[in-house]
Amino acid sequence: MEPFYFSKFESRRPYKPIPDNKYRTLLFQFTGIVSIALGFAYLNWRWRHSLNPDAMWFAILLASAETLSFLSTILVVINFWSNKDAEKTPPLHFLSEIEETFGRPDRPVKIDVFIATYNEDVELVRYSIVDAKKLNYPFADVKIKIYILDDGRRDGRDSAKQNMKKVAEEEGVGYLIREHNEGYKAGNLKNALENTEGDLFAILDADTRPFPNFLVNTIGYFRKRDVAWVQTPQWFYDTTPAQKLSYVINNKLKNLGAENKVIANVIDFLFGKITFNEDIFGNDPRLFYEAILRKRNFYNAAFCCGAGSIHRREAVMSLAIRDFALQIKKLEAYLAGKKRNKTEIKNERKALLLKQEIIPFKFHASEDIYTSMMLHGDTLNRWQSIQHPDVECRMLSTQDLDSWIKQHERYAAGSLDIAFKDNPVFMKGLSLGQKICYFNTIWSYFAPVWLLVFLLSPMIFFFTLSLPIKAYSFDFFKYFLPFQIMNTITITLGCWGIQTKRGDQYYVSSFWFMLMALFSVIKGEKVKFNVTPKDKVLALNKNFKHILPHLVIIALSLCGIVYNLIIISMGSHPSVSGFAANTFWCLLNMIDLSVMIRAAYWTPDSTLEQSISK
Amino acid sequence: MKKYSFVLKPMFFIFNLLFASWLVIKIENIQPSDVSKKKSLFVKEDIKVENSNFAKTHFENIYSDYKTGIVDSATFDRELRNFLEVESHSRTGSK
Amino acid sequence: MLKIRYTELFHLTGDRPLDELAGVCIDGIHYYDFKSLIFLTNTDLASLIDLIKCSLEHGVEVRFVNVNDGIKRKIIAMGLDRILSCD
Repeated sequence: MEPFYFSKFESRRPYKPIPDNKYRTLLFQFTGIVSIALGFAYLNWRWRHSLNPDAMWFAILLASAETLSFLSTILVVINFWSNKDAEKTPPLHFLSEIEETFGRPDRPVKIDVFIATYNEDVELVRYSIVDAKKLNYPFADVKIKIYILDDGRRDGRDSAKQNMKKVAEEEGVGYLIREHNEGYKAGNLKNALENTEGDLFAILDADTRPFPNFLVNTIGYFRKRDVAWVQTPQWFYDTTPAQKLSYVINNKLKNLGAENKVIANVIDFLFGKITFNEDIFGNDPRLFYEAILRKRNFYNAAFCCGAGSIHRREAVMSLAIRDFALQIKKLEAYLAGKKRNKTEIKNERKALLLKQEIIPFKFHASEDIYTSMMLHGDTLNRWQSIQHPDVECRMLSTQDLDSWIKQHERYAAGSLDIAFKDNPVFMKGLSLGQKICYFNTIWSYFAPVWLLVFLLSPMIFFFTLSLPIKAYSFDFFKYFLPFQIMNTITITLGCWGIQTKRGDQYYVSSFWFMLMALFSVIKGEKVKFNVTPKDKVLALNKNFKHILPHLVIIALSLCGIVYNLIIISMGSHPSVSGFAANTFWCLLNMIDLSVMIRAAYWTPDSTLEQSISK
Repeated sequence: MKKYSFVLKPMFFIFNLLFASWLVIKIENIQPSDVSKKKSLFVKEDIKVENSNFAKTHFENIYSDYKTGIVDSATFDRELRNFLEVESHSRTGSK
Repeated sequence: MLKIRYTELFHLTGDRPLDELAGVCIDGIHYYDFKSLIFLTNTDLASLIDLIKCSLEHGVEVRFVNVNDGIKRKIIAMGLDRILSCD
């Protein structure tokens, strides 16, 4: 097969999930409750005793941002409350193991594997096909059929495009196309379901390469008749490796013509242990899958994320049919309300019947989470979802900032669009725990609102010399410190074993595109489905617009610090303690913002043998 | 060690918080009268009042802080007591 | 009269003999006999809806007879009682 940039990462293997520990869970619950209590105490003091009356607009702005951010803390504690991994069972053999046959003759279960593609390099998709063909299954009579779902219609009709059909035929797998792209990926899956017959089907993206035991380790869950889908963690095996600081320094000296073996050894001794730029794009979703989504098993609220999931056909068809019937009923009720006669109602009904489609996955840019919400809210069937803890497939991550932002912008806009149009908080059928978990996801996309305040507050102080609080007195720290420290301990326990540094940095650094996504949804703009490029794309010139706000904030912050230092040296600064506090805050912000700037200018180093790979 | 490397970031953050808090509280508690009273920020003991001119300046500073409202009456009282105690010790010592 | 083979209509069950669903046309309405059908899956129901839509395009009304109680209950539970006529 043709080598790609990711070929050098073939030997990488995924992490093992952190084993559950009931004592750690109990400790987390304890610190979580204490953290929330301290948070309430802090906010109570903030609102009642700390607002600076001489800068009330600033004081209220910051206190409001802190209050909104505190809601996130509460939601996170609830989300992480407990872990409830589903019991693993051996793989299935017969249909009767997953559903009632009602007297129908029993037979081996049928499993389909869908590989959805649009415009990815066909040789890249071939990797996924080859790995899918290697899927193990202990029962020879269980038919596992692989289908390429080509929304790019690359069947040879257009000689300018690569021929996906030819690759499918060479590999001996099925090939399905449709003559339009309505509904994006959801529409593609609909077409696949209309043309296949698996009782269960796995969804893979063009770059998703399943490990051989992907089905063996997951199909057994469907023995429980109410399991609608199983999601496995998405793992990116091509995240940027760490670079040794000593290597970078020596390389720079080499480029300057100042290479010296002795100096190189000294630099290696001093800086050899320091690494940076590991996963510079923050692509590793381990925090999301292992901490957030896995713990939602407790509430039966783990939603589908698309690639790496396996579905029960009957579940998605049930949703599709009931939705279809509901649309007809809504029309009838509307027409009856308008006092139309029977003939008119019959004609309108017929017209809608002909027009309305049976849609298994909601036609939406975030079809996965939307469909999950609908299935969770199905009061008739009470579907269950399972977040499987082990990594069972590997995928490719975005390799440049522009692609990364486009992908995450779609996630943000998609989730926010759902929040405004079909808010899960008000959806009938969802349990309280499910509503809280879905709300937590949506609320996280409102983070740029308070993040912007947190980023701008130090600068407001630097240039107006107004403090948002009366004073950085002992009282302030008496309330602030215990809350912040306990909060940090709580999150560490909740995310035990998982590096959160990159996630925290990108949480702050993502403020701008998330704000733009929020504005676009509020303005009513249609959420676009952008296919994320999976090949390596270098678009340095495109990246600058993404980091301009970050550069502005850093520049203004530095100017503010210098300006304040001048005032301090003149002896006329009204609050040196305020300056110290805001400078610390500012420096932390700048460190977080810098990650996206570094990502914008990151280029792959051809001499990667000097870097540390996992 | 690599297994627990995830703890480094929260530990660093907590350390940062504590250090920043200590520094800010320290700065917050500095008063103009401390300039004449202590050798440096990090020394607890006051400077021994050996010079009457220095003592005079120090007394003026204490009174000025109180007059301008930088310190409250309780603090003024305490500062004055300390000053008088130190003064009386230094006079006893010099005799 | 539209002929409906089991495997075409219920292609997902796949294990039925290749014979046709018994049907008759009376006064322009096509009646299909569900006597030998024990159960319909959701996928089967989706296929039936597609059949109804296809028939409507041809201006043909379709009804189902000898539908057992289990299937009727399923149709009602899925809200299809006014779409799939099976009285």
